Amino acid sequence: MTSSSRQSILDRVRSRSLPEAPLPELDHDRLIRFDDLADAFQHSAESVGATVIRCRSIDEVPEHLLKIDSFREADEFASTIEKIPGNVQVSSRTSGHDWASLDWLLIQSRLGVAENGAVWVPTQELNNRVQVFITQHLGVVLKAEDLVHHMHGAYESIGAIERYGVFVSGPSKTADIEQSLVLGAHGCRTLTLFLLV
Amino acid sequence: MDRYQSRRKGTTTMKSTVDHPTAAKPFVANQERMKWHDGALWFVREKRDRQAHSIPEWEYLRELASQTKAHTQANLAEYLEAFERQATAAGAVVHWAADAEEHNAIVLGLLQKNNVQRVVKSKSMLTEECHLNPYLEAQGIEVVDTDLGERIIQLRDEPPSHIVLPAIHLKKGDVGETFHEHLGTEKGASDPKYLTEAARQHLRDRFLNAQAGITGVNFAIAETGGVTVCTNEGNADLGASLPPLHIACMGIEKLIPRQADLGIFLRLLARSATGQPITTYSSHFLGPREGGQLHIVLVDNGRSSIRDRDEFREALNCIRCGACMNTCPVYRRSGGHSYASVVPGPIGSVLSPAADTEQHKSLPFACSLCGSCTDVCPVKIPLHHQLLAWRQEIGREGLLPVSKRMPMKAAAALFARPRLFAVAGWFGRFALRVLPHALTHNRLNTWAVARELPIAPKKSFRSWYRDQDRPANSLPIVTPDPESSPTKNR
Ligand code: SF4
Repeated sequence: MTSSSRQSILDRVRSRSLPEAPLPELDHDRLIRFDDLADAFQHSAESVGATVIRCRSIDEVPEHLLKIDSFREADEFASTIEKIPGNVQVSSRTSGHDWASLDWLLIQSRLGVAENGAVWVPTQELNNRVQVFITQHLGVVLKAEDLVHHMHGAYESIGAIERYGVFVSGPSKTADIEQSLVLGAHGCRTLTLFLLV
Repeated sequence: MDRYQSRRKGTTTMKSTVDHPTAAKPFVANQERMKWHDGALWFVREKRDRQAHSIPEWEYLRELASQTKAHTQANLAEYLEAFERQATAAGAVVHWAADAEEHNAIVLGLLQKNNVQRVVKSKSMLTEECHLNPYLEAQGIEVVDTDLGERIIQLRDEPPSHIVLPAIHLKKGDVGETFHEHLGTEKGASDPKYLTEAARQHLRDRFLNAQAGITGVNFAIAETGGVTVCTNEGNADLGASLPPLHIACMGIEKLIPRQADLGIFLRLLARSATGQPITTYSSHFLGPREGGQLHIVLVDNGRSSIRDRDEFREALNCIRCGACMNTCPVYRRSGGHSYASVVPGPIGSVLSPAADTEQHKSLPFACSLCGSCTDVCPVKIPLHHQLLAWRQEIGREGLLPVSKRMPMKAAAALFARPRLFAVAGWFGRFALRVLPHALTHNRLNTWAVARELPIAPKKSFRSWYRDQDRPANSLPIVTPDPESSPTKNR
């Protein structure tokens, strides 16, 4: 049944040929460029509800973490950054459901986008892709040298995606009740970005 | 009444002809709420403007988007095949559905094969278009909509009234009542924060217990076989990552050629939709997750016939941002339910008559032709031209009601004969002075319900113009010869 529909849809589409329209090539000279990528990124990220903390190196991250209330109160803290280990036994958690009680997750991103404050999180940076969404609070460490101006630059730097990847811009949010913005819809309630400058 | 019908209660019946002005009556009756609705959507439109203006290359991006879509349409068959090939190579299973019934049957088949009783679904206008929920529920499968707005209206047994803001017709008090009844929140509580938290807890539970997740698709990439899904809440990802089975349903118009083209569309989508620089989550799925299954259902359901038609083809470029609704003066004041179709507003008024002209023939007339929708559309669909084209087509097909057909004919005859027009003008001015109010304001004339006739000028524009003092060598007044007027030759 499915295969006959496949053929009939393709036949139908082929039966009506349209004038050729060339695929446009991007003219990079016409795209926005920021003078200061770190400033632009910080501004965008804050405008979508993220907190940006500038650090000189990864070694400064723990002291900043300890100043965050939700971090101090967290029972379960997972981290994929070797230098800052979490307190959960990763190998014992085989299914996504095992991560349901996660309070805090700290991960690394190797790509941030100045125009919209998004960070790229591919599967390789995670133990399980559900972590990003199921954790109550998310922290992401990013080097300023890994910032690009816009999404076109982002896709150039991503290249081939392995199974899965997600752009995260700010904490999870909704405005479905009378257009009032509420942070923490289904995903993380807060997003903290540690920008290494 | 089963759910299939009851879900449609806000839209009256789906089968018979729906008259937009009649369907809008209950909404318009509540002046205060109408004003609020109007203002809330205008607020979103203004946020969109700010975002659009923050990007100097905005118009260039719209151009690129429109060209990319035109190119994809011209090579659609090849791109569909390439997508299928690549998605399959990545481990997904691709299905093809000619119409809504086949789409629903495919989804049901997959769920049954995997013994699924509980499904979480993230927002997808396609599954709404196919009426998937009532179909699955009739088979004993529980479907939970997980987008907050969608969940609210699902609990209330109403259809969405907007494609991006499904519950925009409701006030927080309404949501509070619904949640009190279904989720046990405190009576009278209406704080959005409190209500959102209650929904978060309630839905977390559903996510963890679901056996399958159904999502829509914003963009499908022919080059890689990947699909991209954009949400603010994170619901699509929880639904696609927790249960072992992920079914992604998409119309065949969602294809784009290359992964890099996402750069164009993701820059336009959220800015146009809610005035954000990008949605919170833009997820890229390429094949199933480890140990899971990914099925992608490609659906035609009338799309290829719209593609056949030169005057309406570009409507398939729509990326469902909702900007045309937010800016539309008619939509903002009549509410989404008055369109009695899954997609309301300007784009809905183009797409719905394509699905069923007779049933939706009043929609292209629920438009002031102001052109604001065309101005904001990120993919440059000439919406108001298409609405005008529908009016002509509906006229040609003889589907206009007598109340519209007769005056149009009379007006056409009048404008073709200038002398008769002059006489009619005199009569009109006379009538405006002497006609009793009851004759113009009665139930036969719906136009006059909220309008008063103007005060008639003493003389016609022509005679006023003749009487003006003009410089000696002014342009002569030319009265076209009725015999040679262009209308006559047609
Ligand atoms: S027609 Fe254009 S403005 Fe309207 S929803 Fe579609 S993409 Fe957005």
